[in-house]
Amino acid sequence: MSQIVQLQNNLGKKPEAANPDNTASPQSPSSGLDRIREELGALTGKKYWRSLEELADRDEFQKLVEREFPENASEWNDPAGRRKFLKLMGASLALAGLAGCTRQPTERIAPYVRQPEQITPGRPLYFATAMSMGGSAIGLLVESHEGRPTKIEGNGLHPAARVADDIIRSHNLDGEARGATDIFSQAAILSLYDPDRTQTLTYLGDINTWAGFLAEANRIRRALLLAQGGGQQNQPGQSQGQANQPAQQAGIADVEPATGHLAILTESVSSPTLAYQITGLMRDIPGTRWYMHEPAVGDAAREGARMAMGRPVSAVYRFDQADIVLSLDSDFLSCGPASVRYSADFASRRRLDQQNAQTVRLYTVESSVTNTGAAADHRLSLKPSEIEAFARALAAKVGVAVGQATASEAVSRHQQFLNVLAEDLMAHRGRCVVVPGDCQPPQVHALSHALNQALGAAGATVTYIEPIEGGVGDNAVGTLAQLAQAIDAGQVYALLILGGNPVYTAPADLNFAERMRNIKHRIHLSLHTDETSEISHWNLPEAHFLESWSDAVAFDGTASIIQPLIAPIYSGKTAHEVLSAFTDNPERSSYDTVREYWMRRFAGGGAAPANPARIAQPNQPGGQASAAGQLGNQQTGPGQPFGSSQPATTGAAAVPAAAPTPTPEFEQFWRRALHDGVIPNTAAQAATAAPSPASLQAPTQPAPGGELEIIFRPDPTIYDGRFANNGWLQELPKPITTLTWDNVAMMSPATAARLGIGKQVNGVATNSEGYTGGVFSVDLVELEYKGRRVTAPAWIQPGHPDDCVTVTLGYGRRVAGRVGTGNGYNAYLLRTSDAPWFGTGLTLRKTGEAYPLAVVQQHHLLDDKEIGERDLLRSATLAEYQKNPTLGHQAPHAPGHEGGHPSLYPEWEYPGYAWGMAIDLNACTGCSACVVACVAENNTPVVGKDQVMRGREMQWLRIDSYFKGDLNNPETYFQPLPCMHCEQAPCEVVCPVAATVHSAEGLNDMVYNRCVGTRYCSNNCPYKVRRFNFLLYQDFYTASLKMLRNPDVSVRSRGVMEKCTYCVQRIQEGKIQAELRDERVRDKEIVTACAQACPTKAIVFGDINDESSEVYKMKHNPRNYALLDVLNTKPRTTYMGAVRNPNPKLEKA
Amino acid sequence: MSQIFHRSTNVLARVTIFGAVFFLAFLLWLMDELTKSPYNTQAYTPREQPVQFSHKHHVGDDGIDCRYCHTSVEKSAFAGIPPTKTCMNCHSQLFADSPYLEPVRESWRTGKPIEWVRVHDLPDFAYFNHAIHVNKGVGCSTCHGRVDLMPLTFQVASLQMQWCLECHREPERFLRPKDQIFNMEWEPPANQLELGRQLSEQYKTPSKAVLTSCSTCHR
Repeated sequence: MSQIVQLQNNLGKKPEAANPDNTASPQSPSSGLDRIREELGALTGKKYWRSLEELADRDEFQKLVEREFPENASEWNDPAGRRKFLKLMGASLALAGLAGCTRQPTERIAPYVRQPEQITPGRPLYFATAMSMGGSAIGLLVESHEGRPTKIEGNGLHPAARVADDIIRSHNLDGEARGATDIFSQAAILSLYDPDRTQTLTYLGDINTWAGFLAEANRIRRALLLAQGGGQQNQPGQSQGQANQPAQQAGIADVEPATGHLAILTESVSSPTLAYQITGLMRDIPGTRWYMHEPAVGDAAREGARMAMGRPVSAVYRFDQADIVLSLDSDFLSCGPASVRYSADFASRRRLDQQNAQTVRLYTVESSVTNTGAAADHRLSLKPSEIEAFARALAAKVGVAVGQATASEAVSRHQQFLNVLAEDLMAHRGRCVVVPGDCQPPQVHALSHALNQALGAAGATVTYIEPIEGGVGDNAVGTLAQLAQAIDAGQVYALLILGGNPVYTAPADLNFAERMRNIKHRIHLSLHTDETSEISHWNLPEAHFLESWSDAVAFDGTASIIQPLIAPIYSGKTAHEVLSAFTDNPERSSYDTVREYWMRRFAGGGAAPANPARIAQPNQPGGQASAAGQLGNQQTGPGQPFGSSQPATTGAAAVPAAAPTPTPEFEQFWRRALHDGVIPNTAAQAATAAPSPASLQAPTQPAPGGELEIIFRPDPTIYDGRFANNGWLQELPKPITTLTWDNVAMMSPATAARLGIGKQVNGVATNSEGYTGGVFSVDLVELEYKGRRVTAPAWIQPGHPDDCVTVTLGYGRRVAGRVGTGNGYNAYLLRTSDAPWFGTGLTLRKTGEAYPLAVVQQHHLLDDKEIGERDLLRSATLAEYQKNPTLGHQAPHAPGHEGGHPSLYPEWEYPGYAWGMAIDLNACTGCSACVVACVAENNTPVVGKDQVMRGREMQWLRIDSYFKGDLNNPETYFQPLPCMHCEQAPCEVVCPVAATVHSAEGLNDMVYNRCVGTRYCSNNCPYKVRRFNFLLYQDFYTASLKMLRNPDVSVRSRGVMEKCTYCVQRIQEGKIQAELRDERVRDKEIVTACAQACPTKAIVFGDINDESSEVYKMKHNPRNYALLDVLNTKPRTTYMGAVRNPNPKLEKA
Repeated sequence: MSQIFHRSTNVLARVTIFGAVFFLAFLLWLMDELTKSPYNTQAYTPREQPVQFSHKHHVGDDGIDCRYCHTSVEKSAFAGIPPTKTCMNCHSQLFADSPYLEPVRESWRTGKPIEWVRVHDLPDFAYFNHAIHVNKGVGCSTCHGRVDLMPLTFQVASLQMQWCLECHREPERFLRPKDQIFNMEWEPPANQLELGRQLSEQYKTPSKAVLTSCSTCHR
């Protein structure tokens, strides 16, 4: 008690002292900004801020901190009239009465007729499958309750999901490496049950049948074959003979010869079977062409490799081997095919246990604000166009022959950074790596390859493999721009779009929607009815990957079979089945197709099978034709061999055209592949590739243009727009900005000040002035770029480079579904095919209007003022840590631990288990996978933008961002915040109905059926982790969403308080399984959903009574600290402070 | 001025005041009794089932073990309702033409499950696990009564929380040896408390504090 009083006395006045000229300060922006900068610079102690608004106006901000909920959250000010009020009251009274007095309604049990062998009713099964996105896959384990998938976890056997040093010891996965996931794979389960999915097959807007489509596909096939004329009749081969003759006979009757070719438009294809099928079809129906459009993944990496090494090899990085990492605008921790694995590998080098001291140092040079930049030890923000010059100067410094390094203003500005970086890299030859970003031009990739070669990284921390994407290696694939040319030339007879939404995602200059209308037959396979569906003739419902048989390769080439967890809910079809419709075996299932491919590959000793040739197509003049023609000659199928050193390059005739039959060995191989979720020995071969410096001579000529640059990025949560209708991802706060439901045009504070954007409050350009008035609104600006305009909300982001504006793709969907339609603005409308990632010539005009945003950064704020500078977040440099491993703070709070503060409340005793959690802020990259995993595991509802704006978001786990230091380039830290499960919980003592009580194992149990919604508990929670169902957020009525729910967790209704339970359903299940074995629960046997999803092992859960457990060790690490320790709540969730490893030579004086 | 009320009104007032207290108490007691009564809990009420299945015949007369049909009772939270296949194992031969079994044969022919009416129906916010009870000395008949004597199945317990807590507070009153779990005729011996304590130690039954923590059953 006395301590608290003393602290209050000491520190009560400090904020005023820190802002002496707060009131007197002239309101001119520049002087105020300078003042804040000086202030930030002058602070020697730790000083964190959570938003610009906090920096600008501490007093106003403090009002917000002191509220239990943000303004408008607990007020009944919905636009509800008297009638609605009476209706609601009447209904609730009637329901309350009914529920109180009636008996339980009759429930029925429908057992199986023939129970499948593996199923034990009431116990889930786990199946391995894979999710493919952007051309590569992540292996997953999917939980299935009596045939309905409910939760997705990572597959520890899969290279893209493996968290190498984390072993699970649960009853069903004992001894296996834990697999982690990213936000997209966690949220994919909601997309499966999305009620807005395309549910029926339509033709010209009317309901049609699959048989109807098969007939149409057959007509198109015959028309195409007829147009090919007599050339084929003389060709040998069984399949074509069978197919052609009836086709041509029938063609005389009802089919006109096609005018043009069949164009197949796909996203990046990671399925070897699909690539095999497409190339097969290209031979089967000559002239067929394959185009690929992946809006959020550039081809710079491929082109860069081609430029440097003559071949489009892929780079695989080994962050667990690297001491120095340089990211050149690469967001490898949260973006891209291997982000989970890379995060795990990177974090393993940041771990600070006794044996394993931190040695990695991450330099990030980036043009936007990303999680990788936030994790960096040194971050430099440059305009995107300046990064190439920087890389070139660095290469010159390191000793790569790059011609003359052009003098660049950016380089001279950061000469010291460059010198120190080059020195550090050269001092760690073979132990460093340079990672170029997808959004950078091929030249930067080529320079990075050269740098890695010069630094000895090639072969050590970066290896090259043959390209993994289907069709990429053999040059067969055209781009969307080439498709547009072909359409203009009248060459496209039928367009088959296998997934994707090109009308929405196409660069604006292609005017794809208009062009597509010129095609005679337009067929679109998609999960949702979207912008492309509107102008397609045939709309085929697509099977979700959890409903499909397919296969996919990971970033390193390892193949997995995708097996269905459930029969297609809406009779969806896979791309395999749609392609089969155009062959002479139109009704072949995707299961047969996938199996046949692997049978051939298995029979070939792992070599990718070649397609039976239909015709050797001579090279034709013209870009497209030659691309397809080359393929015809090359004869190699896609995919990579497993065992043999050579891909099958034999002539097609050598491969038997007849379908192979399964051997017992194959069946064994197949079952093992399905069980493990990976196919052994399929990782791509290492490619020997050495960059030639000759390719590096020509720098990209900077495009002349205006002073503002525009940067396009995929959205952090809804990616390229494909997850627009996924409420979990829409409502997931985007890392760093904590924005939900919208995208913004992001710029730096200085640029905003120059352009007069934002509100100047005490000299700081803030996003919103009236944030305590409930609505957080920002300026709307009009962006004009290359003659196209969009209106976007402006967002001021500390750390963003000056004179650029970042826009994120994926929003502004016109046709997405009830969740995704109409949110945000469409940045694709500004994007052009010549400069897909950045360009100059942007002009920005303030419209004078305001736009409300749902930003959660200022909801649920922890109070650090009243009792002074409580350190909510602790961080130190490695040098400071070595001097003082406790980071200057207190000892841990294990139960029975001596010390701590005296308390008036009696201590609890825990003779059995005592569950606890430790969160390592050093490892957390803010990827947010834990938040989505929590939502998926605990049946958490989505509330919508309006409710989020009122501070009523329901996620049990939030990630607070903290910034420190320089306004232009702050250090960024993330702090995941679940329920603290305090020993002396303030919530427990105030509940009048004992709905929140202390369990015998130290959990703060939340008993929903007792809760009457007084919200006293939430009022008394200093961590603000409790969430109240202000309205009926759960959707009890949509049939498909009922299947989504976790049957082990109660579904909460209106008027009930809820919060993190430490996944008590998993604790109980783990305890029951252990008790059935007559054992104590083993360490890692019980893993909470957040801990299981975490790629970096930042969240560790376990029994703190067990001295051998990892969580016990973490809690006895000197870095361990409790949040708001002075309140004496003794939280069970504790944190380990972040330690950064800056280069002493770059540290500020 | 004369009084408005007669003197006897005083008595009436006293009686009314005390009477009201008793009346309210009576109402509360009545509500409590009604809530606990089989009218509300539906205990001792046989349910109408699609097939007039008799546990008395199958368990009592034929001596079929519980686990022949309720296969997952030792492994899972859910004891399991037998698939139609289990019925047909015998009834493809025995009573193969009985009109009573037509729903079973229909299910077998059409592949549509028989929709049984749930007898023991816990509220959705209570999570009961059969496996841990059966493996830790709680016999079938402790909760389900003498199923072997029931022609049509009914519940013999209120299934209310108070009833659950009777055992969770004092498990030693109900525990039995593992080999007696499926014995329908098992009666607690005279020294049940002593035996129960021994068994409780042997089974490593969690402490009363753990057994009565809310999250043990509510999640």
